[in-house]
Amino acid sequence: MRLLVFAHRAEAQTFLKQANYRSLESKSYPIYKNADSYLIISGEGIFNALECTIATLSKFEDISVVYNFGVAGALDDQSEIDSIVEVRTCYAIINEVVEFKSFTASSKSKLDCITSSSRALDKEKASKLSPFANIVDRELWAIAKASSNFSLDFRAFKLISDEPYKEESKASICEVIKDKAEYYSDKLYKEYLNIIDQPIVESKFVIEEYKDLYFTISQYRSYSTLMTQLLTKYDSEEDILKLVEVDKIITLDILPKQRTSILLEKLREILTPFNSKLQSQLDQVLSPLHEARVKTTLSKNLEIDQFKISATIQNEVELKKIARALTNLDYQAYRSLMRGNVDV
Amino acid sequence: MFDKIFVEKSYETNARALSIINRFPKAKVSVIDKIEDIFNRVKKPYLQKNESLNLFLGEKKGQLVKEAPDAYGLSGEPHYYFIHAYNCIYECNYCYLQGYFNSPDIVLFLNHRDICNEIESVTEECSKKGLTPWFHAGEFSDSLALTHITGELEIYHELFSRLPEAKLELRTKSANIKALLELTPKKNIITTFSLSPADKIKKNDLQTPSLRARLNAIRKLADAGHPIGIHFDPVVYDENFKEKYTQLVEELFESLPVDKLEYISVGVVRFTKDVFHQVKKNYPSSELLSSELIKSFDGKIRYNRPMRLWILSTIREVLLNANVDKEKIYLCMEEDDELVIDS
Ligand code: SF4
Repeated sequence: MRLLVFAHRAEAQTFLKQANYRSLESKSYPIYKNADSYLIISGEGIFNALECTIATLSKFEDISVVYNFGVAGALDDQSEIDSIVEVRTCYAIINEVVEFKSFTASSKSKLDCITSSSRALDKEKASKLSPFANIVDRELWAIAKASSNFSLDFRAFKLISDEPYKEESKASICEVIKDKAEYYSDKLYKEYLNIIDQPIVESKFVIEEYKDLYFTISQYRSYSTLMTQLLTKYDSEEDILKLVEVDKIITLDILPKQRTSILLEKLREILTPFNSKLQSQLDQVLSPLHEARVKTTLSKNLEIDQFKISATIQNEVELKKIARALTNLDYQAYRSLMRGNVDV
Repeated sequence: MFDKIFVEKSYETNARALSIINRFPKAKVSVIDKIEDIFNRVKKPYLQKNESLNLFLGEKKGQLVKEAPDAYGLSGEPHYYFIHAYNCIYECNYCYLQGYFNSPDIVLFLNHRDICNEIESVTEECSKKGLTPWFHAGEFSDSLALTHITGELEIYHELFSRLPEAKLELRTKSANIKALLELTPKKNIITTFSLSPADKIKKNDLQTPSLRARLNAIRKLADAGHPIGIHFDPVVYDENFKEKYTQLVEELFESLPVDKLEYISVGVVRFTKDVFHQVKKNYPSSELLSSELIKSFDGKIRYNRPMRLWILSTIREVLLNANVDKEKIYLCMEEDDELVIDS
């Protein structure tokens, strides 16, 4: 579900008329719902927007993304009056103090917005805000902050209603002028329809087509992580599968789940080629101990030479076996590997 | 290149500021009281450097010359860096600047004379102790990338011509040697180029000149008699690592006679926790993240010890095979690693 946040009912009027919203019971602020979204009217200003957005996000856990629609004033000539712009990053100025924290939307836009706690804005004030952003509004930063508290993405679309950077006299920013309200809301609604029309392409892994493999949920998660990392090094999943010879793996006469384990192991090997080689050389050097059932624990991340051993001795034969294994251990070879003399 | 230029009031009519501003006729210029009023006041996402970059011109206050961290340069001598800029036009995906400032905007400080005075007094102190101080330009920026616009090179050139007992290192990933070529080569002014194999430059040194362009720059500077140093840093491992570095070394010494090399330093890729966090955020599909990095003993992110020691000794071997003098090779490593590599 999406959450659509408006400051004023006038901005939301077309949405409410066209998109089958029904009103939900609410004591403090208007809240509506249709098949795919909630819509709230927060009232004007940072604190109203913050309170209402947080309250709504706390109440409805099925919200996955937050949208803000509304009007904004231009602080420079990067946006035209009456146009709708998407916001990239939002900043805030509260009681004349610029807030350090900013929030960035998942958008390709290049325009930033600063949310002002003050309504009045003249040319001089606009010039103080313009180093930080291209447009000014009254709520967005609060909505973005609330979204970020819930780790949700937000997007914001602003209709440019005024140009305070041009105004000589004091003007009120972001006012929804009554006789234009319907026109603004229509425009914002059309923009919204465009946005939600964009199809979401879900990516699937080619491996799902291999019916001779069986993935448990955790194996699939591992596959997905490994493949994502490997795709930073190789061009395609197909290339990677070819490299690990998946066609041979699927013909192995073992259970499908075991084939998957082998596949994951091979993927790990090509993801960490150096450490796979180092590990196999260390295993070889330490093999006399392992053969005598002595467990070895190397230092964390191999940062120091030291390693621990543990074993259970039940009789003298076992004791002698372990003593022999310790004598046979080539410690110099082990130490040399730990100091980077690896055959790669 | 720049959307907006902010110039401090006291530099509004400064000739250097004006000449920089004139290079960007499309940028909007605003006069401000202090750089700190705007720069770093809000968190501006690092990657916006590709979309809308601003330039600040003004004065560096506070300490202008600082002692460099231990692992900074060649061992044995005192190392300092001076700050005449913040941030860089390039975008190396491992760059520590992405976790350093709160904005990617470029700041150029124009009070070079003040910086020079401080360099002089540090040099004087060192000389009294019989030490050769090294000064590094560009701790927070690339030393050459913008010099054709900023024009400060000649000031430092003049200073170090008068201070033969001090050394200046100009460290760069650029091929922008125009301003430098106009100056007489000086023994104590060393230009150092950071190099990586061509494919690593493409993948990781985003927006920087190619290996070919950097090698051409090295050739031209060396031909003109400028001392050249090299950094192989950060070294990023991949399966063809040795072949790639062998080829890089071959190509390097086709451009620079091996006996003309001042020194070469080698450092394996490493990150502080914060920078690594930024890399993850900014470049989630970078190959750096899927390489064999671990959280090391001191909290830094790097390869495990056997791997980093193997990388360093492999490159040292490649360099020795190319007849690089052993004394000219510096391996940047942790103190603990130094102990084990020698034992
Ligand atoms: S050239 Fe240096 S300062 Fe510039 S982005 Fe690359 S690493 Fe950072």
